[in-house]
Amino acid sequence: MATPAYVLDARDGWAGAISRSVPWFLYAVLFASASVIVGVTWDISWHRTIGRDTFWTPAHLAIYLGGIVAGLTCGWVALRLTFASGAAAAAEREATVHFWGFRAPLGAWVCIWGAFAMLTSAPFDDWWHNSYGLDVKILSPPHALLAAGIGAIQCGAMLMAVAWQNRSEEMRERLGQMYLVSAGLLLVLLATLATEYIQRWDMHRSLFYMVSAGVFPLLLVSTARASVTRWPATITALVYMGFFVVMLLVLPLFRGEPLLGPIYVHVTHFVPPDFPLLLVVPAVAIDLAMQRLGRGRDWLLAAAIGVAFVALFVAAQWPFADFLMSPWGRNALFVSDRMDYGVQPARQALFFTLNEPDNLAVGLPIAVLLAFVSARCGLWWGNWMSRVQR
Amino acid sequence: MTIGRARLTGAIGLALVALSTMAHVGSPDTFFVGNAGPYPVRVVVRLPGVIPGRAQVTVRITDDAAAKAVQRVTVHAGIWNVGVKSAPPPDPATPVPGDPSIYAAELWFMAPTSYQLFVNVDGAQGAGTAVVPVVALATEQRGMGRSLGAILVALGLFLSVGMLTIVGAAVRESVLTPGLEPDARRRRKSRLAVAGTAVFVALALWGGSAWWSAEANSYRNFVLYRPFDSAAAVTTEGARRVLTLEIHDPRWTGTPPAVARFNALMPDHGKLMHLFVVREPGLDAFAHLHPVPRTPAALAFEAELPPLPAGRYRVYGDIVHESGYAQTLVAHADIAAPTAPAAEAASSHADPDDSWFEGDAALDAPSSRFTVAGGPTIEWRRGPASIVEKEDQLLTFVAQDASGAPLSLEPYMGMLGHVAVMHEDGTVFAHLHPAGSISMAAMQKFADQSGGSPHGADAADSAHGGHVIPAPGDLTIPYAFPKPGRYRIWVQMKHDGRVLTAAFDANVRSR
Repeated sequence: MATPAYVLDARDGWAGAISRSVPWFLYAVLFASASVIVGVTWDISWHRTIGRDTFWTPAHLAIYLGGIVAGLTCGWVALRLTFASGAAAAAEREATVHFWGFRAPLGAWVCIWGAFAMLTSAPFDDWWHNSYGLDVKILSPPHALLAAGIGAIQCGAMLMAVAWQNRSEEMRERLGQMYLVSAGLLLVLLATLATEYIQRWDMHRSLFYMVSAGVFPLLLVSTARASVTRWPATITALVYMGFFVVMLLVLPLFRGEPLLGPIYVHVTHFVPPDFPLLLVVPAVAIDLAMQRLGRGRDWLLAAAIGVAFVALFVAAQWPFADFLMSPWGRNALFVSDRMDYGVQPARQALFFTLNEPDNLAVGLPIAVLLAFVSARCGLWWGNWMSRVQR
Repeated sequence: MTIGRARLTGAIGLALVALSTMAHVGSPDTFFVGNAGPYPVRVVVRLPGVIPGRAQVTVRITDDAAAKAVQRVTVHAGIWNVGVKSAPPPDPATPVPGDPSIYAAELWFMAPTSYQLFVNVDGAQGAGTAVVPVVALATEQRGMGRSLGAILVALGLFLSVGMLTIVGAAVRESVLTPGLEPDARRRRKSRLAVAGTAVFVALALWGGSAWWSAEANSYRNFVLYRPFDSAAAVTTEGARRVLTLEIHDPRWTGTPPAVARFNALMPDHGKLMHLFVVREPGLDAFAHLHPVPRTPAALAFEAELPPLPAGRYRVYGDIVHESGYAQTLVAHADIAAPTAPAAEAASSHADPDDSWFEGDAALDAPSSRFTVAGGPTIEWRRGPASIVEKEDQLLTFVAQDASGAPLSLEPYMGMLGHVAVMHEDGTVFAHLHPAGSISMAAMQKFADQSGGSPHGADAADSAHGGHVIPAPGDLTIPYAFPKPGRYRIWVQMKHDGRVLTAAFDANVRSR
């Protein structure tokens, strides 16, 4: 994809004044983004395997570590860019936005906001446990606040990477890769939050495709629009899939047994996450469509992506669901036979049975419509991200 | 005056397994006395108030020699219908510093239902297990403290305003070439974006608040303990006065599901309900009745009233489901004066184990004595120390004849005695017996499920089925008063075919 003219203009005369290596704090926030999502995935596995937890489980520590690293790093960046003197600091200060008199890149402020949201969720969650009991459901108001904080840290990491990518010449390729990795990690969070609606046994039902079409094009398309690489959506989807494949291969290596009852399933090792969705297939179509149609025809592009996303996602995921439910899916890679300790016997068959298709003649057109809206919003968002300089 | 209506038709030995109910109005903790194999134990389970939550379990080995032989104590709990098969691995209970006979553990209860608690004791005398029925009740819905509320409001305000600031900065400056200042148009767009985001934040806060309310309502309706809604009424049929307790609750339709905690009622020593009525505000009239369901659906229970004086009464109805889930229905009833003398009022419609009492209580004292009509006395050996809320203790009562000799006791509904405890404001009511506050019916059922005796798998004296008989005439009850205030304690024992009821006052001070 060609670099837009206004991006080149933005870099003019400014980039030479600052360091030509990727700043350490970009690595730090990317690490923070990875740490929180590793922690979240690990924590979900912990609850499916062991059940009982404390404030200090390793999974929780990984989440806290991500919040602390992002908050302290970006706080330091803000203090330095507000108060430090010298030519380099002055040049960097030019590429910041204001926040109550302080100066920092936009992404840093988003990360700081995320760290404060996570901080706020801690006493809120503690009170919630004391008032309504310990965690039974993933989604509760304090957990939603925590998820917002985690999402903000991942968005902040993405914004910091894309801003540096947009105004850098020598480091564009590396920064572009970091940007796509941060987008892939955010995609993991989105898929995790949508888990309840995109279960394996619903992969032949309308809601599965409607939710997928509403959620995933937004991030894939926006990421692709602001990227300087040729296959950004594909790479983002591969980061998402690679993350889950690594987690599902690594987590079961560790022993773990349930410490809460009732226990209906004999579990001896950590329960892995499900095999990821085959988002790489529609992601390739997104990249191809964006390469062919380019900029300036965004409504048409969104319509094309809406149709292509649903068509290719159904074409890939539908038969893959049959495969996952077959005996071929019950192994260390596809992990279709792994279930939580607390799945009641009456529900265990669900893990190996696809729910019957519902009214797809209505559901799939709605999914196309949702994918179109999602893609169009993604293009708006991506157009803005591709212009972010600070 | 105490009048026992029981007609002992044959010798009922204490060896019979007694079935009794537990009551839990404002008194949700579990107290148990029994044996874990060769080890006599007293177990207290203090519930966390909210479920899921962590309960505090205390196991006391009550025999010094046995305590010295103990090497390891563990506890674990399984849901009523699955039991030990679904229970997690046992948690070790650690000795409490300063008293090697007490062991403490923390136990997770995940659902507001009936559990089987397994207390395993291992030592030089062998290994044994006691199975304790525990109803994991959520009894509290806590508010937020002012200081925490202020902190969260401040942080919430910071996050809200911070989000607006970030959005404003994003629109105003983020796409500008480094070094450039935003122009008026961009500033105007920024203000519009901030206004739009303010609407979004307001909607998010409103949505969050609605979500929070929905979660709180769900907790209140489905988790928080709430006995079946019920109503009591008294009707007069000639000289007979009949109290009817009707259940009006969507959870009790007359066709209970088999696998839910609110499944069919379990006969409790042949009786489906133990009903207590207490006159307010003086607590000076009391009856322990056994109503029968009007129909097999058990939507309404009827009991013929004894000649209680007129007044407004609190009504407590203890029932136990086959799940082991015990609950106490609460209602009020206005009772008119009896139209016939007491002797005439007695009829064949009443349950033979019904008993009642009218009169004042013995005052709170280190050793208070109550004289029952006819000469026997019941003494409460409270001891010199005052009673403190939430402190685990043994309530010891001794029955003597007029000459001071211990009274030989007979089983009253299979138990050595029954004790009812009520706070003067009616917010606490507990029905206790020598095995504690547990449901004996549930204990028997769970013991059968685990293939053991009611005392535990290896109980040496399983024939006694959970009864503790310290000495003839003695009645010892484990309990902890849940809150400070004035309590009335009714003690019921049976001697020579007659139920003796004594009443005591207890002043419980706060910690």
